[in-house]
Amino acid sequence: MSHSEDNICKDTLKRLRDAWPEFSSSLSSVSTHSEFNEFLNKYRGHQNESSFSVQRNDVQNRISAALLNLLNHCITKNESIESVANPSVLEKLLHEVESALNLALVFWQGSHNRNFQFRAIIDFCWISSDPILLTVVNGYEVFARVSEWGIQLSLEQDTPPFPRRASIARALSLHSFSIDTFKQNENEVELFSKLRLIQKEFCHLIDEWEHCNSILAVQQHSLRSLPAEQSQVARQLFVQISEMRNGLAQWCAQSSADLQDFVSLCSSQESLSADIRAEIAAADALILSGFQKFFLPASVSRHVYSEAVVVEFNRWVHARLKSEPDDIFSLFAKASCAAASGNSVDVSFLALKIEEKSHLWSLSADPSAAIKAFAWSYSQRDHLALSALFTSCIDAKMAPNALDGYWIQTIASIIEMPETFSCQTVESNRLLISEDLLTSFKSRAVKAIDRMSFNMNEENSKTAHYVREFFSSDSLQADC
Amino acid sequence: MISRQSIEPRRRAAVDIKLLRLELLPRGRTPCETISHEWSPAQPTENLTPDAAAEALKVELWAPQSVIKERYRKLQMRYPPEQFPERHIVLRPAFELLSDPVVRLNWFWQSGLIPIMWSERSIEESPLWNKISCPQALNPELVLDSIIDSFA
Repeated sequence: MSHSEDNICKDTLKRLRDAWPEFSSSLSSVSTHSEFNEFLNKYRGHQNESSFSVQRNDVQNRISAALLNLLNHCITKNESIESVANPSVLEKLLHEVESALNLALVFWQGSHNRNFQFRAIIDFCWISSDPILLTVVNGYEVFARVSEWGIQLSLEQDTPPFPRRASIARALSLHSFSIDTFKQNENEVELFSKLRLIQKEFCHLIDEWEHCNSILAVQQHSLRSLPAEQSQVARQLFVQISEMRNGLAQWCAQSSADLQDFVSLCSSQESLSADIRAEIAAADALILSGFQKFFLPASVSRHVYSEAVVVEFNRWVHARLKSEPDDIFSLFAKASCAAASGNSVDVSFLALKIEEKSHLWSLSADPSAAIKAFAWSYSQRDHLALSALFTSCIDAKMAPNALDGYWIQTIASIIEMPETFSCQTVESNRLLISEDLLTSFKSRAVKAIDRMSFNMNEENSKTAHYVREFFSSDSLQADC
Repeated sequence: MISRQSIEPRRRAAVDIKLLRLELLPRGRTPCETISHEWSPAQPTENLTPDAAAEALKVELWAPQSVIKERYRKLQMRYPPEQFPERHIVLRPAFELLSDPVVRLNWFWQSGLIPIMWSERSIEESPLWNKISCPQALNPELVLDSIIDSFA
């Protein structure tokens, strides 16, 4: 944005900040309604009442008025916004305000109760999610839409299902740190405190992800019970919920990538004290563990993430590789994300790493979820290459142990994964690996399976046989 | 029991996903709970909470690593392990839990709890982590202030 656009945006956000205390107390006042406590006790994140209680008319009007007051104060009565004549600039400004407003709403809660959130109020008051005409700026209509997920501002009546939210990193004032500031030791106290804040807020982010993702999963699950004559409606709703999950995942992945960027930047500084280094390692490991949860809807429920989400996943992987370049998990994630975004990626580096002595590289997490999450985007050859590399990687890193049966099952699930997605078959190969290297990894995978399947129960032996057949199959070789 | 001061429970709907996971995942385990160098698949030690560990070492739960290491060194000097082995049955696991921020944070992560970091120390007592430097809980006003500052 240009300097003048920045100023208008800043001015609008200041107006939002000024109006917030009054808005917040209006939201909190819902708790005084006689039916609210009972509603909140039963509330599990989605509307579960069949009819609206007329006793709530008053509170519904009050909340609608508070929302309108807030938006009017920021947008309608804002002279600086009226000076914007270009619709694309106006749209950009509205999106910036929407992002900030929704991030602020994420951090809002009433009476120190984490279930008393904005969405609970919207569901309690049955606030309509239809767009309303807020104002007209230089002949352009500005619409606002309120839903339990947040507030949307747009020049169009049709808005994406999930509102924009600014990255969590913007709430943590990470912009005040740069490489230069690390050179000044007096910032160590602030950096230490910032790293602790990142750890805490990342835990909140994962909580938010699990909370919202479970709400969406329950909504999608309930569509299965709709009668056959409503299958068309169910399909539309299913797609809408999937888009919402994409929006939610994009926000979570973007926030994680921003936090990882900061943590990787910190870990590259050599002059920091041992105390800070230990906190950096903790934040790094926490983000790694949390991020894997974002693969779950794809690897478990076959959700196909949109391109915008894959871009954020890619950003995170690249940021993570900066702090740990020899991490095989990140290299697998990089390969699968590249395939999902339609880009070619050379996996020879990954293959050569696995061929090295196993103590020379790290396996910070199980890469199977990352491989499975984007299985819809692999060609047959790509899929075979990733499966063989994964099997060889597990064989190299794990000493024979009681979990071998588990790994055999995991390899089998990777092999079967592309068929379980209802997408079209991908023809073009995106993973660059020489034929010789691929053949060598296939035979290594067969040997690994033979080793792992020693002394296994009947079920695992059958699976091991199936996996072995996959890697040694001539028909697959011919296809490749 | 861990004190309410240091944790924040998860929201109710987050429990639902666990039920869904049981339904959807054949092995009932999520990938992030399987293997990792940093994150042990083991469940947190049942008998040792971070609060109890801090109490045993007589340090603050969220004290920096160097403070905990120094405190443990002094305790080892005062109570040599070979002379006071029974004391170290408590002190050693407490030290292992608190001296590495990864392990300490992992306890909260594996327990499904959100940690609340706090300190009662003054800036003179603990220059790196004290009641002034420990971060405030974020609220919408602080969030908006931070976003406004990012434009400057």
